[in-house]
Amino acid sequence: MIIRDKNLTSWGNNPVIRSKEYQPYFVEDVSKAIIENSEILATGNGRSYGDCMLNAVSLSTLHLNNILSLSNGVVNCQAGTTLDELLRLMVPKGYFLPVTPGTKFITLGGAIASDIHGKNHHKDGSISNHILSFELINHAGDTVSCSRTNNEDLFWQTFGAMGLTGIIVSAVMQLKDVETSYIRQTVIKLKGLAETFELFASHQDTTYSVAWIDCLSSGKSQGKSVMFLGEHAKLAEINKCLHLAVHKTPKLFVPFNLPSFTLNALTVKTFNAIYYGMAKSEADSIVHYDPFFYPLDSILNWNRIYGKKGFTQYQFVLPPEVSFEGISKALTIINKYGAGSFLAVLKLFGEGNAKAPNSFPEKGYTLALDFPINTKNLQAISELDALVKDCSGKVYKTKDCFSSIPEAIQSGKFQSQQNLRYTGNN
Amino acid sequence: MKTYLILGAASPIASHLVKSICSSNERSVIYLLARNIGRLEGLQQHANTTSHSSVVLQEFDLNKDVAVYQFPANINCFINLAGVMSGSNVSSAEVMGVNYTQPVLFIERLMEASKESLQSIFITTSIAGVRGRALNYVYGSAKAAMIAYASGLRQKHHKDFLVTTFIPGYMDTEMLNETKAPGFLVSSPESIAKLILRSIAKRRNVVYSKTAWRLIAAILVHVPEIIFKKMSK
Repeated sequence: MIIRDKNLTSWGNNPVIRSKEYQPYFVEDVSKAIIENSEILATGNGRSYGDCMLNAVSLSTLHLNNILSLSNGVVNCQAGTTLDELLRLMVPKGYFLPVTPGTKFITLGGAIASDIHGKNHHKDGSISNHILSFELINHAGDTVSCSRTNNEDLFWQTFGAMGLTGIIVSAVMQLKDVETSYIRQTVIKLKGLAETFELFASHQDTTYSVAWIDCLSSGKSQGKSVMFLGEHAKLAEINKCLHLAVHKTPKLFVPFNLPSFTLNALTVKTFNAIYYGMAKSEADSIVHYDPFFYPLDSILNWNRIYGKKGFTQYQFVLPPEVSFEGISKALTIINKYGAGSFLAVLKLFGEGNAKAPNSFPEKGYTLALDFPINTKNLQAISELDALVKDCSGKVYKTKDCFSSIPEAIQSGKFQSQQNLRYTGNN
Repeated sequence: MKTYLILGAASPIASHLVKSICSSNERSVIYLLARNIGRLEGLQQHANTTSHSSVVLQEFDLNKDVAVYQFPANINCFINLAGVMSGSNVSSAEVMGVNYTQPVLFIERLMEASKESLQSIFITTSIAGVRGRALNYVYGSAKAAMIAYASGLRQKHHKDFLVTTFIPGYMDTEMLNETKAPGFLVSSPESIAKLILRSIAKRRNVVYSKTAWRLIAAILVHVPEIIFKKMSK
């Protein structure tokens, strides 16, 4: 088995640690690596943001990416298979991912570890609602089959446990039937937060809904946003020769880290003004799934625009009754610090998965923000933390690097720098 | 339809090779020969699920099975990836056997069995075979013999089929677990897999894993013995 000492970091490029990384090509090697070490953590394609994937000993699942079967809308694949690889296979056959985050470059193992959600959470829930079973290798190196009827405690605990319950080696997922690979999209420009909330509430039957928020606008226009609504387009609605077209491989990339000052309040304000200005309200346009779900995937290494110091994300969810007030306060905090976040995304969650104790999504509004790492922004994060705590909200571990809200998971052999940080919090 | 026979299939390079073959639109049959075929079942299922090609797994021990192996019909392309480095728990006999004598006997039998269908033979040797060095001269000598065998085979059969001699330097596989190597000399298993298919398609005779290694090989050959013998660490 290939073993390398390497610098390990997540998509946020911060922090960077040295890690001994196992790179197995065969499932049997996973047990070997687990038994050889007193501590280990599985990693996927490194698209999480904070320190959740960092550990001194790690095991990359990227070469465990065989797709084992696809029939009757159920896919069985190894944990290191990326959604990108899955889409290339399933879309031409008329299937789509039941839940997808904002990037297709994540592994299915990582998706389970984070219990990912998408723009359709209010209707379809998180990925835990669609995974039928998985195989996991535990601390003793034994393979455990988990499903809703078999080892169900371990099955549900694993969603959102950030890999601390064992190393997932394969999973079976129920897919969604689609007639086309296109989305019927409606774009609505909104002038303030109240309007945005109203629209979310009135569009609960729409499959996909998400709003991009200009978090640097204040006063009356605080929370002005662009809302994107979408439905899978029916065959009769589109006029394309290839109705199940797969996405293309991106060609654009950021060749090197830009200077850390590239993203500041002024540039983000300018970007936001242009983005908001250029967005046009339009109903029922037909777009491919790639720009609809994965706009940022068109530029590889886009994380380099934040510079060498890297960036972090902060995503929280607040209970519905305090959502409006809380998110309005959060936007005020961001404004106070001029902590420009140009990927601010607001979304309404449906009910969380009550069976999965470690899962993040819960009913209410969730706001995801990104910040270049600097002292000012870290202060903003600690103030946001206090606000979220006050509102009895939750913070998403997959993106977190600085919050003191999430709780540690009791874990033995499988450990992460993040979990140790949370242990210190308690 | 093309039929491949890959020896030494339980390796990262073979995994990528099978996936590369499967990702092309061509319909292929790929025979994978390895000691432990259980670990290749995932790859086999992947090929069946994602492509029109099919993978057949055959248990095969290069030290034992060469004389008794039943060749499948109509092999077009044979790729040898089997190899073993000198090490504390590997005998010199095994190093010579796996890297030279056994594959040679295997290829001799293959040529007889697949006389009509054979289009190309791809032989993996090593930069260590270019000139014997104190570090690994048993391994190096076996690889040198393999380079000589491939060269002779090519001369004899250049009208019948292609013989490609592959001379890799550092590969980002298990062999680098203990050794540190400068990045520009290291090839990833994925790039090697693509290189193999490209070399066969372009009908190349001798291929190095990186251009830099062609240069290093040229220098190695030309250093006078009187200096070379003193160059060992």
